[in-house]
Formats: sequence, C-alpha cells, structure tokens
Amino acid sequence: MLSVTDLNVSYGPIRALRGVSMQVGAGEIVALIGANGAGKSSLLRGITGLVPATGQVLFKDAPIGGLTTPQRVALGIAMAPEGRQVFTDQTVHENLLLGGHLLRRQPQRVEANIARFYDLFPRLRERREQIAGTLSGGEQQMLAIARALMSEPSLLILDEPSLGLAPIVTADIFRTLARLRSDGMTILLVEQMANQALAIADRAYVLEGGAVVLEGAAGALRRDPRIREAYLGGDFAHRAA
Amino acid sequence: MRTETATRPAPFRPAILRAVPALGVGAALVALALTLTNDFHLYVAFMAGVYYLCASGMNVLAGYAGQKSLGQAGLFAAGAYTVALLTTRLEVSPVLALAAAPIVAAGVGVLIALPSLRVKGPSLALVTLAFGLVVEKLVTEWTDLFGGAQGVYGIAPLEFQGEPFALRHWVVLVIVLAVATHLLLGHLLNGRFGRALLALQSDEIAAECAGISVYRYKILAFVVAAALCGLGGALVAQQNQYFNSDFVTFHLSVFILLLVLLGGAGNLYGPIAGAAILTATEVFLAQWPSVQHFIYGSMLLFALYLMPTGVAGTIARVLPRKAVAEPVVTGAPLTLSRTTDDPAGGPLLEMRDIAKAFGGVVTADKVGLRLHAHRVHALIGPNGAGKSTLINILTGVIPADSGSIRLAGEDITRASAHSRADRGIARTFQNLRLFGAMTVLDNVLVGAHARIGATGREAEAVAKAAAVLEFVGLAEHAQALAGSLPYGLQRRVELARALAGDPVLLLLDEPAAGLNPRETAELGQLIKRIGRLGVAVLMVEHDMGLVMGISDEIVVLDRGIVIAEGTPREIQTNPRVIEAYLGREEAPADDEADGKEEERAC
Amino acid sequence: MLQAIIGGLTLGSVYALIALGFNLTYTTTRTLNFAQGDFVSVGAFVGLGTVGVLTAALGADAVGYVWFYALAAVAAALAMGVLGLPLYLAAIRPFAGKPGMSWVVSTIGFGIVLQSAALSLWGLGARMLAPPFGDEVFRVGEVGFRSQELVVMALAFAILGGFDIAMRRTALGRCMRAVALNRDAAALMGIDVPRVMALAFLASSALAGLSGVLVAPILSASLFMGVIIALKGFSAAIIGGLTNPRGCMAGGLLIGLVESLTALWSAQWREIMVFLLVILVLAMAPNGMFGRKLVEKV
Repeated sequence: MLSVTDLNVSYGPIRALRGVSMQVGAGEIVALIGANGAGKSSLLRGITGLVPATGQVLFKDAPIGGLTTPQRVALGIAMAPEGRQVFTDQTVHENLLLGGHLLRRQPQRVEANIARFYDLFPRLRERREQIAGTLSGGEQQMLAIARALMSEPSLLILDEPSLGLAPIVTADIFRTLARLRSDGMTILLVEQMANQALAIADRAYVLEGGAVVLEGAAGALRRDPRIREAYLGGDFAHRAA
Repeated sequence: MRTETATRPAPFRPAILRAVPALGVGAALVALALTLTNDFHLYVAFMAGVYYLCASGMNVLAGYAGQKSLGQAGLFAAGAYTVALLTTRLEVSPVLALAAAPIVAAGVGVLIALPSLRVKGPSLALVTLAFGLVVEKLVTEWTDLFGGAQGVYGIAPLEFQGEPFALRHWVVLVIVLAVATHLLLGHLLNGRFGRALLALQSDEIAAECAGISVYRYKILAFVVAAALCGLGGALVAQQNQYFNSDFVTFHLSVFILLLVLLGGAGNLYGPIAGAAILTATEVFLAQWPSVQHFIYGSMLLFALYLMPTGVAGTIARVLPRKAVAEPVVTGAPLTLSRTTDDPAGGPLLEMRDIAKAFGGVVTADKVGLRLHAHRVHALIGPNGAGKSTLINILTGVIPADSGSIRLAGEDITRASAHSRADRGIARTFQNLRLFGAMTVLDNVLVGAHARIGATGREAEAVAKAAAVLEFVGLAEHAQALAGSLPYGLQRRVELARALAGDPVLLLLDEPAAGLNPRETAELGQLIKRIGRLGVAVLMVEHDMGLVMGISDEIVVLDRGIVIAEGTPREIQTNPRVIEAYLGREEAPADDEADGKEEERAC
Repeated sequence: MLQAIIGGLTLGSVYALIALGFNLTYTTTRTLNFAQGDFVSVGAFVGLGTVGVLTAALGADAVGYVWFYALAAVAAALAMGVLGLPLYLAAIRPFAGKPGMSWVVSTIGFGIVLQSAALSLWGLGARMLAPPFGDEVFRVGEVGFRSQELVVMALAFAILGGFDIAMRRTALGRCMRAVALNRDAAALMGIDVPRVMALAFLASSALAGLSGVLVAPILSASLFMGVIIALKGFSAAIIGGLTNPRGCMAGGLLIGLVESLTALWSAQWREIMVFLLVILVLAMAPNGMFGRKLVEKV
C-alpha cells in the first residue's frame, strides 16, 4: 500500500533521515521503533508531506511526493500526530467535525462516522461537548485516533500513541488498534515502547541515526538483543573508545 | 555545502589604520562641499548628512540589535525641540544646546527602551509606534510650550567668527560629525559591543547564556539610536532657525527605517548607501510630490523581498572578496583560568529539591543533583522525562518553582542567566542556537563576552578564542560564517563558544543529536578531554553508546523523578531503567511466556 | 457622563472590529497588517463614494438614505476585502514564518502605496458622511444621544456578535481556529492552510473597510484618519491579548471608554491616556489581559 524508497529529510543543515526505504502492505500493522531522535517522526512527516523530503513515496502505486498534505489526506493517508495535537480549544465533537473536513459536503456521512467512532470510544461520546484540552491524556489520544479516522483513510499512521500515558491506558489504546486492524485497517505505528509495539505488529523496522538498522517480523525482533542495544547501548567500549 | 566567509574585516588591524580611508573620504567631501555655491545643492548635501546621522543610529538599533523602531520621529523631535527651547526660552548658547540635544534624546530613548525589556514582536512595534504618535500629538497640541503648527521661531544657530553659520558651514559640520560617527560606530560595532548586539538579534536566549545582559544591550542600542536621531533633529532645527510640529510625522519614522533597510541593515556602510540613494530620490521626485510617497511605499514593500541585505549588502556580495580564509593559530595549548576543583566539603554544584510544573504537568519533582569538577555526568531518561527542563533551570533560562541551586557554595537559585554564565556555567542547546550570520571566531568571542568585559583586552580574547578553536579542531574554519558550516562542525562551534567563557560547569543538551556515528565518537573523545581540563560536564543524551562510553556517573530521570543513579554498568542492568525505556514486559494476553523468558534474559 | 460612556462604547466597538481583524491574521499567520489604518480610511472613502453615486442616481430621501448607507458599508467591506488578497500575496506571504518581522515594513509600504493612490483619487480634504438617521438627538430624561452613535454601536456589536458565533459555529470558523492553534494538525485534517491564511487577510481587511464606513458619520473622514483609529484597534488587540478574539473585543471597548472619559476632562490628552494605558497593561501583562503566551522551546 505504501512504499518509501531512499527518503531523505533535512532540517537546515541537520540530516534527520538518511535514505530510508520501507513498505507497508495492505492490512498490516507495521511498527517503526527506535530511540528518541532516531528519525521516526521525520519519516512520518516526510510521508504525510509536512516536511519537504527527497526520495520516492508511492501510495497505492501512485507517486505522492509532489502533493500537499491535504491532498495526501484526501487520497487516504491519515495521521494521529505525536503528542496528540488535538485542537485543545474546541470540543470533542468539533474536533471530530474537523477530522471530517474533506467530507464536509456530505454531512450524513460525517455524522455516521462520528456515531461509529463514539461506539468505538464510548468515553468520547460521554465527553462530546467537553473542550478537548480538558481531557485526560488517554482520552486525547483516543480523540486523535478517532479524528484521524474521520477522513476514512486506508492507511492510519500513529506517532507515539503511548507518549506520556500510563501503561494501562496504553494497553487499552493498543487493543483498539488490534481491533481496527481486524476490521481491515492498515496501520503504521511509531513507538518508543518497543515491547508493546512489537506485541501487536506484524513487521517492524528499527531506526537509528536516521537510517534503518534492523527489520523483520515482529516476533523475531522481540527476541533480538539488538533492540535493547538500540535503546540502552550495547557493547559500548568499542564505539566511543 | 559551500563555506562562505565573512565580509566584515577581521579585528586585527590597528584602529588608526582603519580610520584612514574614512578620513580621506571625509576630507574630499569637505573640499567638494566648499566648491559648491548653489544653495540648493548645499542644502541637499546637508540633508544627506542629517539622514546619515539618523540612519547610522537606527542601524545600530534595527540592523544590529534587530529592534525595528517605528517611533524615531519622536526622538528627532526630542533633539530639535531641545535646541529650540533651550536657545529661545533659556537663551542657552547654541553650542551647548546642540550638545544637550543628543543627551536629552538619549534620555527619551531609554524611556522607549524600558518596555522592550518586557515585550517583543508586535507589542514592541506598537510601543514604538505609539511613542512616535504621542510625541506628534504632544508637540501639535501643547502649543504653549511647543508652538504647535506655528512652531518655534528664532532658534539660535551656531556661529562662525561672530556670524551665524552659512549653509556651507553646516555642510562641513555635518560631514565632520558623520565621519566621526562612522569611525566611532565602526570601532564599537566591530568589537565586543557589535558582537553582543548581533548575537542578541540572532538569538536572545543563546546570547543571554553566553553572558550577555540582553536588556542592558537593548537599552544601549536604543540610546545610541536616540542620541544620533536627536542630533539630526537639532541640526535641522538650528540650520532652519525654525521648527514646528509638521516635521514630526509617522512618515519621518518610516523614512528613517527605510534609510536603513534599503541601504543595508547590519552593514556599517548601509546607512551611507541609504542616505545617498534616498536623498537623490527625494531631489529627483521633488518635481512630482504626489509620486514621491508612492515610490517610498513601493520601496518599503519590495526592498526586503528583492534585496534582503539592502544595497550595501547586495554590492558586497557582487564584489570580489578578499580571500581571508587564513586560519587563526596560536601555539599555546588551551588552559582554563578559573580554579576548577570542588570546593572544600561539597560538590561543585548542588541542586536540591528542584520542582517545576507547567500548567499542571510536573516536569521536575524534588530533583537533587550533585555535580563534581573533573567528572563527566550524564542525565538520561525517556522522552518527556524532564531532562531539558533541568538544564534550563540550571542555566536560569526558566525559573524553578522551588528548591535551591548552589555553585561552589554560593546560592545562585535566583541569579539571571547571564550572571550564571559569568560565574562559569556554560551550555549548548538541544536545537542548535548558533549566531549563523557571524563568523566562527565571532561566535566564540561572544562566548568570551564577560571575560573580555573583565579584562578589556580584545587581543587576548582573540588569542584565547584561537586556542579554543584549535582545541575543538576548528582553527581552519575561524573566518567562515557559522551558519554555512556542515551540521557536525556547527555542533562543535557551539561547544567552542561554551568553552570560550572559561566555564567551571559545562551543560550539553543532546550534543550528539543529528551526528553520524563517526562524529559521535569524535565528540565523545572531545568531551572526555574537556572533563580532563577540570570542567564538570553534565550532558543530556539519547545516544547510549556515547553515554555509557564516556560518563563517570549517570542519573536517570523519568517523569520528573530521579529513578536511578550510578555507573554505566549499574544503570544498564537496572530493571527500573529498562522498564522506563522499553515499556513493561507485559504483552496483551497471548504470549505471557515470552515476556517472562525475556525478563530472565535481561 | 452617560453620554461619554455611550460615545466611548461606540468608538470602542469600532476599535474592537479592527482588533478582531488583527486577531484573525495574527493567530493564523503570526503576522499583522500595519497598513490597517489605510484600509480604514480608504474603506470610508469607498463608502462615501457609494453613497454619493447612489444619491446622484436615485435622488436623496430619508428612507432611501438608510439603505444607501447599508450598501456603502457592504461595498467598503467587499472592496477592502478584495484588496486584502494582494496585501497577503505581496506583503505577507514572502515573509510569513521567517524571523525578523519584515512584514512590518512591507505592509507599511503597501499602506503608503494605497494611501498615495487614494490621495490622487480623492485629494487631501476631509469630508463628512451624513449620518443615516439624520442629526437628531434622542432624549432620555436629562441625557441626549446622537442617533448615529446608537446606529454605529448597534451595527458594530451585531457584527462582533456575528463573528463570535461564526468562529464557534461554522465550519470555516472551526478551520480558522484549527489553523490558529496548530497548522500541521490542521493540514492533517485536509485543511488547505494557505487558503485559510488568505481568507484571514480578506476578513481582516473587510473589517477595516467596514470600520471606516462606521466611523465616517462620527468623525470627519480624511485619508489620514485611519492611522490613529487602526493604532487604537491595534492597542485594543495588544492589551486584550492578540491571541484571544474576545479579549480583543474587550480591549476595544476599554480603549473607547478610556478615550471618551479622558475627553470629558481634556480632549488633547485622549491619545496620550490611551497609550499610557497600553504601556501600563503591557508592563503588568506582556501578553495582554487575556492573551496566551506563545512558548518557545529551548
């Protein structure tokens, strides 16, 4: 569904992403893991067009590199960005309406979608008139996911959904993701919490220093000691001395 | 990436030598002025000189300090009415009145500068704009004192051999004043003062952390701009022997800003170019007054778009540049001159019970830290643990809610960022905060700002800066513009800038972010060498290879709480740390066995 | 006294309209139009021109004049709104999002160009726009109100209220607030961010033009009147909090009141009191009374 080839992202003189290639197949959950600053968010921002990137991005076999973010969203890519980024000064309901911005000419469809995601996240229905900024972190994450789904995407991208959440809330969010996948959604998941991400993913890529250093089936990666090295350092003696 | 070198001359040539061309040009202008007989030509020359004076002051403020004032007309008026009222009401001698004008204007300048300590951006623009309009209203409405549109007549002019100055005398006087201003500003702006202003324009936080009192320098810039603008106003009032409120308009303020922006802001020659071009335009357009404003408007609208560096900057770019890539070399190895041992009976720095919350989110909860001289400390923790917040609290960029910080036994909890830098706390930033448009050497000299202030010896500081550059391996890039270097080298420039202040404590916020593995390894070596100089180092870093490889001691922070302290070995095997980083080993239902197995493997 | 309060609220409501315009462009693009004053003046003259043309074509009578005035307001809003687009393209877009506030200079330049063009069209003189309901004075007990003040105030409040509801209840309002809060997140919703920014300038310029028509019957209209009006609108936005639309409105009313109460004592000190108020408020609250601090990550 999504195929990225040799993607580079730079912020001024900083090269945040150095020639990353990766694929996401239809119906898969693919996890991108790696320590802070490894380039995970930059990769997502390159895919969604929030930062200029060089290299090739194919979505449903069509190049989308030259498109703006809204155009990519219209094609079926949606993202729940890092740190939720819900519209904190608007209500839950308004946030969802904004998520359905591209479908605004079809109000029934938007309403039907909203009803569907209130069923998926009953907490949001309870709080529909509440200002999003007053929600708890977990509720905001649910809102961010529901809001992304409002555009009826075929690929859902999540950037660190567990950030700052208690483990039990994270587990809840991850169960929802598994459910979405069983309904046929394709998911690209960026996570720092490697163990949780690998538990629900089919495949994973490990990023370090802006490049893919490890990739494979999630089950195999879970047992790979190199994952822990990517986070906490491994045979440190030879690297720095 | 192309490496650009700076156009500003290296500060090595003696001041006298540098003054020769300007003095020569001044003398030639005086000679030329004395041959002019046409009053109109003389008047144009006089006004060009006045514009230059106003513009050169504004250039210090807008071009160097980056504060775009929209109220210069008010300062022009302050100078003009000072001579007007002093000579007509109090019958002060014209010379004294002229001398008093810039002083009064400077005082008024301080008044506008004070709000700039609190507000920035649009609010500051409003304050200056409002100031200009208040002055305009005041001189128009308060007719008893200022005469309003009637104006003040009979302003006493300067005299020459008992006669009032003729127009040519005024022209000569303006040329002399302009040359003197040019030389004085050239001397100031090419040294510590100019560097400090450029630094604060580029990045106030980085400037403050390099030991520059941002507030004091902003006020100084306002004062210089006000004094020169007031001088310009006083000259106009005395030459006309008349001044009224029609001179004081918003258009004058805008015109003064345009002089600088069109000529080239932040370029010593910009105001000259601006004054020359706009005076010529004014003369040329005088026949079509209705078109005049139209042209000025278009210039304002498009000048910055077409020539972001103004006419002078554009010319400088086109002219072939002298190759000044000579590396700065000293033979001497780098030593740091402060005593760098722990004080008797305690660590170099002790942080106690520091707490900080942002809108309910606790980012530091009773954190304690003890940092020792000669040692490399690392502060690690997952995303959002509060590491950068701690660095910012230590350097005074943000205040702590409670707790105390002592450096070498002295309480610095309430000290400002620049005074902490002065006491020897230096830092680098997570996202590079270099002064990109300045040379590498100047960046490092900014780091030595407080030190130069203490000794007053620029040459010594340059030698020291050269030693620092050699220490970090940047000697050959000394004259390159910092912003044009590759990223890895820019990181090192920031480190050099921090070292130039003779720090006792060096704080590094993610020094390896964005570096490739080879650069990271080199950085590790460099940090170890810095530790050996006697400096206490604290780094926040995510690259665990680096952290584990060079740290003597590691502190782990999670959600604002210290969860572990110890040597690299201890930290790597600490189960709480592993959980904080990788998440708990519980997996959704299906494979609990795997989780247990993995726990044993750890 | 009560008269002064009504007068103050009237002017204040006009300042509030202008302040709201500043709020729209600042929150969506982090830039402001420093030529807003010229949009106010030119808007007033477009209004005057419309009234003149209509009166000449259809003859003047009292009932018709009210409609002419309303049409003039619409015409001014439209004309200035359309001019907001070249302003955005020429003076804002090249500099938005870059450091250095170059847009201050470029918008001032745009204003000077606009003013020069208007001067060649309409000349230097001041003109009076006859108030829509004549010069009558309503008397309530001891106090007299000028009808035009009440009309202007009613209209301005209606527009302010309408805007407030539009920002909260319509899809476009939601989009504007979304862009104001977080451009990236808005783009991820499929919102065309540059289009929303251009719309913000259109709306802000239209509000300025409308304000011009509204004050024209109260103050005499000249092409130089706008600067000081817009500056007070700007002050209103700054002290109310540039980031908060309701704060901007409150700031406008406060400035109008301070101005007209000062005028009871001395007309010359009006402006000076207003700007002293600004400096006082900023000294205590650098982000305005209801503003939000835009935090910089270190």
